[in-house]
Amino acid sequence: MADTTIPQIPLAQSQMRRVICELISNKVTLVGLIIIGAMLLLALLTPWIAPHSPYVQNAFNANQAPGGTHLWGTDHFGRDVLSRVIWGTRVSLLVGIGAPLLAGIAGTFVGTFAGYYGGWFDRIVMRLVDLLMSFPTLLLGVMIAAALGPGFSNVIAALSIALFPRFIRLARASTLTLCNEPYVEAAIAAGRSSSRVITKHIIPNLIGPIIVMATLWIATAIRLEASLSFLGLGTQPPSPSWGNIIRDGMNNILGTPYPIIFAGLAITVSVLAFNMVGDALRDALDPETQV
Amino acid sequence: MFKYLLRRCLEAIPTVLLVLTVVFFAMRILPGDPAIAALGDFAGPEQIERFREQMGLNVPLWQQYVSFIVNTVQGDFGRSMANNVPISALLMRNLPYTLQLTVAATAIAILIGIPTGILSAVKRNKSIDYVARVFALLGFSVPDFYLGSLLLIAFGLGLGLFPIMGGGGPDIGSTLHHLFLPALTLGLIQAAFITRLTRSAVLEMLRRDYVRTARSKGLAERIVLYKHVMRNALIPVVTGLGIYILTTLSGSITIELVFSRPGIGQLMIGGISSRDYTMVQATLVIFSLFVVVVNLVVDLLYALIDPRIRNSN
Repeated sequence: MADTTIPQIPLAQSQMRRVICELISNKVTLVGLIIIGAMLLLALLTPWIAPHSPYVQNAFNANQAPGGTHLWGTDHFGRDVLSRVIWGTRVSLLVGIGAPLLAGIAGTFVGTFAGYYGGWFDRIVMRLVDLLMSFPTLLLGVMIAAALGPGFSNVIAALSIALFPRFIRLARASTLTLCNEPYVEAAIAAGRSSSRVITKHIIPNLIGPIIVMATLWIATAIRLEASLSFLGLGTQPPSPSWGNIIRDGMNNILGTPYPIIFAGLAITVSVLAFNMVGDALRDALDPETQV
Repeated sequence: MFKYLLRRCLEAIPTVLLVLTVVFFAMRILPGDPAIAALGDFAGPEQIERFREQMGLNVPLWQQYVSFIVNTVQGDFGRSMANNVPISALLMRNLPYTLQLTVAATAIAILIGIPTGILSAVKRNKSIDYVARVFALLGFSVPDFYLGSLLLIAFGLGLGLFPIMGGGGPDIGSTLHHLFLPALTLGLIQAAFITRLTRSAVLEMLRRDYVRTARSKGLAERIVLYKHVMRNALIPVVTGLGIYILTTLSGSITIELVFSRPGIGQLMIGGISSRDYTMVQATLVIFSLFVVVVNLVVDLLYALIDPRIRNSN
């Protein structure tokens, strides 16, 4: 998803129930949720579901078209494309959920701190946040990954840093609003320490919007991970990820196009599923913007 | 007005300095010795020492920083660690390809996105609206490099209508021929975003009171649409221009790789794989400057279009 604004309201219990009902009652969203559920299952049960090893090479079996024992065909090393794509699900989900999660946790701390204490720390942080947010997320992700160098953990780091400023801004804005709430003022007046006010009164109340925002960024994170792997910055071969299967496929495009076609399909379908659910979630939380 | 322009341009200077500083330190705090990275693990100590001297890596960090800033401002990015060619020459040779791609793709995106978005909003809940919405949702979900490879497989390899690699040139026909598929790929993806933005902006305006008034006083629907709805609805669409250009620029990195096109992204990715530290640093600077300049130009354009902004502060 592109830049989205999240309503700055804590999720009340009844609202949560309404949102869930709204999500399940919509057919399109339900399809999205089912696809996401299937992906989670694939990622958890990979070794038992994948029909072949993703690594075993067989030169006599190279560049096969789909059909027979290899449902999605084989690549130029004779490796089973279906099994490689199934193994790639793990990487995509791990990065897709991990990066927004890390960015959310780190962003909440920095944003809350900046918003609560203000002063020079707040000014410096916000200056950097403004600067980073003037970059498109993809460009920022690629640039950070370029500076960090290739590797799986570097990709998670690069994407977390690229998403980080958005969470800082949300957490900071929520903190500023919450600081004016009577119960926070009362806690301060009653002599509660700052750390107690932050952990007991502020963070629990801003965590709802943060979680929603993290969910909305999963689709983008999956797409970014695929882009970085495609550029050769992500998961390194022979470990399969959807992006590097396409990268491999581009080098063998005259041999067989099927690895590209199927791995790309996997990315598209999963990003589509997260986008469908994300759109519905945003609409359900913010009925004003429904069009 | 002139004062506003001048102030905004001056304000961009600290931003540029901040960007250069971030790039410089990001490249230095990272693990790994660039000399060993460039020469390989088996290089002897004298070899490494000579290389460090050549590249100016043996002086204190603050001196490296000052000379980096001074050289960069003068347009000197040093020499490539991989093949000792001046980097500014490589950048100048590759920059036009990236600019061509960015401009062409943005133009395609606007030409497809705005009419589709308007049509989709005006024919809300009709079949054409559903098609447009599916197109938009797909555009958000298909990775640009995947769409690019599919187009390459279908129209380049399959039908043989377009070249599958290179940037073309020097004549304009060859340039356009090479540019078409990459620009179409990025343009279609970006068009999805513009379609969605235009659709919701037009729908928003259609609900306004003054549109109801215009209709109720008996104006023709066409006039209501063009004079009342479109003029206001297109403001957020037009002001998104900076975002379209920058998003397309980020997409150009992967697309250059798909179509084996020369360009800044290609230089950056090549630099990473050959561990060419100065090259990566130079391309990071170029991308960052691009972002700062596009944002500045868009800000200035806002001020030209909307007097409220330039008078507000």
